[in-house]
Amino acid sequence: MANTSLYHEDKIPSPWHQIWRHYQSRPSAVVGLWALLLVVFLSLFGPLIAPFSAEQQATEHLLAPPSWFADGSVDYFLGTDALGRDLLSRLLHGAHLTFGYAALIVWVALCLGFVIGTLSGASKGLQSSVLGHLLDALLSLPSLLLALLFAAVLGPGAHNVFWAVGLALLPGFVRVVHNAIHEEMQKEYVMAARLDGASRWQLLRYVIWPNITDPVVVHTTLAFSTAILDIAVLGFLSLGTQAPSPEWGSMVREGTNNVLSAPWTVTMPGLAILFSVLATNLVGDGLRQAIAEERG
Amino acid sequence: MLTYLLRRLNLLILTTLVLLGLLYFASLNMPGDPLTTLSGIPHPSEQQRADLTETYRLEHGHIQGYLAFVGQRLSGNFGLSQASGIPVSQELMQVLPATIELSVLAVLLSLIVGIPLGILAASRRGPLPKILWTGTLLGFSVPIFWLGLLLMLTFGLEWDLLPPSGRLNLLYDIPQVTGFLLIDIPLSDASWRGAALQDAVNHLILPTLALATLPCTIVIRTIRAAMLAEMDKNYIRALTARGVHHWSLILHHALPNSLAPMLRTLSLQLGQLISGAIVVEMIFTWPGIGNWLLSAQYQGDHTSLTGGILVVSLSIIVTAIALEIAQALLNPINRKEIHG
Repeated sequence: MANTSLYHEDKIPSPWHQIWRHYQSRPSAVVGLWALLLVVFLSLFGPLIAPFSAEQQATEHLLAPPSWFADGSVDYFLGTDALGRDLLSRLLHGAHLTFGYAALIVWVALCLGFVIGTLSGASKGLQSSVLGHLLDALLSLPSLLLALLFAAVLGPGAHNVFWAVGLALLPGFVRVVHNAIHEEMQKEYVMAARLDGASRWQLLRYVIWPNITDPVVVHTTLAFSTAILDIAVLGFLSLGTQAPSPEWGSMVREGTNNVLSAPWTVTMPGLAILFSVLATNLVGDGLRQAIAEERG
Repeated sequence: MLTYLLRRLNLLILTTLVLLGLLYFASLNMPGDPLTTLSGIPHPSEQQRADLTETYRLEHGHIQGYLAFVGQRLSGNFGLSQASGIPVSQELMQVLPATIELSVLAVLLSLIVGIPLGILAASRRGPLPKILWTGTLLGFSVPIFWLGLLLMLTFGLEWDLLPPSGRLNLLYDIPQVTGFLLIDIPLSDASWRGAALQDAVNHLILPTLALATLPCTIVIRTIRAAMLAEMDKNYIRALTARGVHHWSLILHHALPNSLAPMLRTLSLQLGQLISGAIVVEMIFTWPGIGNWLLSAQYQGDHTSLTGGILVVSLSIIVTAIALEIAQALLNPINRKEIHG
């Protein structure tokens, strides 16, 4: 029977609650969320549960195959690399370098992009144009070219990854926030609030910001998966973190030396990257769909 | 329309100047003598030093120096390669055609495969949309270097079907006319043209497949989303009511209107495509600009590096603006968004 006391309900579900209900009804999105939580957990606590340290070398077990091979051993669950280092431990130690670092970079780019995008979106004329287009030159520089430039100026190291990937992501965030704010500013409810005497800050804080979260959230998940892939590529080209570091991309690079005799040294770190990016994309896709359903 | 074109031109000039400023600033701050970095002469003599300081106006402050740098680079003087001593522009002419050949083929392949699949993915029946959705999700998530390595391992080494690296078997000596092998080979008058062409195509298959994955998934997704939106519109309903056949409806009415969003998304992803090309070239040792840039980086050849970065990013800017103008010509509504 239909609920007749709809208007007497004490609790009206908030917009986020309703989006969450749509999100929950998609099995792939829920699986993606669990997978993402697993990766977050592993990148936070991976070093604690890893059986070995990242650099420990078992000299009698060079290039040992994964445990499900006939001559594999359970001690080295995913096998070992050319120096006898346990792949599983290295993957666990490297999770925060690839995944955690991506989260940090996206967070910084989001905050900075939000500020610049708000300033340019809420202003008019020259100021808006300069702030909005200032970073367009950067849009033409993909993170790989930026990393090449930074590596040449600063020398190789993890800081290159931070600057290159962060600067490559920033224009996208500025663009999204700028466009969203610009679009909201044209609407009548903003005009109504302004006629009520809201100051510029009040207009932004209470009227506009709550209404631009959708595009920003969707773009953040996209940027996050791009950031993971970019960091891995820079590691693979050894423009970022250097050789002994267990960053997943550089593990693939090290594996290429023995790829014919020990293919698992390449496939395992690659699968780890694929898994975390796939989880991020599943969550992003689910969120996008849920928001679209909620907004009708 | 004229205002529109002028605004785009303005944007092109400004972005180029900002880019050159960034590269000039980077060149001055790179390790080593700025004169060497700018000119590419490893140990300039006193006379050369004086000449170069005059050419790049290093003693007249940063503004004058920047203007001199812009003048030199835009007139085609990229300095000498520190590794080989050959002018950078000459080396670029050698490597650029290989990259263009690979990227153009990859984009063509992704369009040929992606557009029909995108149309099929927009259908509302059957298991195909789900399968394609899974496929595109995987295509978005797979790291391109890993995919390239796996392709090379399985098809190139394990099964030995296709050559795992390079651009052409060294047996064939093709005189360079345009630099594009697929044009140069038919132009040459050797008797083994057919075999050489076959070999060149075989070398192309794996890198093109690896590079086409990302644009292909983008094409499928954008076409699908745009088709779903178009099919709900009133003009489609009117045509259905008039009895237009379903496929003619899709091919002649919905598809042309869905191509515009696809082009826009693709032009936003140009940078990703070029990054992909650089990585794929490195894996398959393809003698293009990506491989050349990376070896310049490993050798510390900063003159070649900055020159290469300038050319690659300029070509991204020019292509993006050209695509945008093409869209404006095709679709007048886009012209309204001049402030964009």
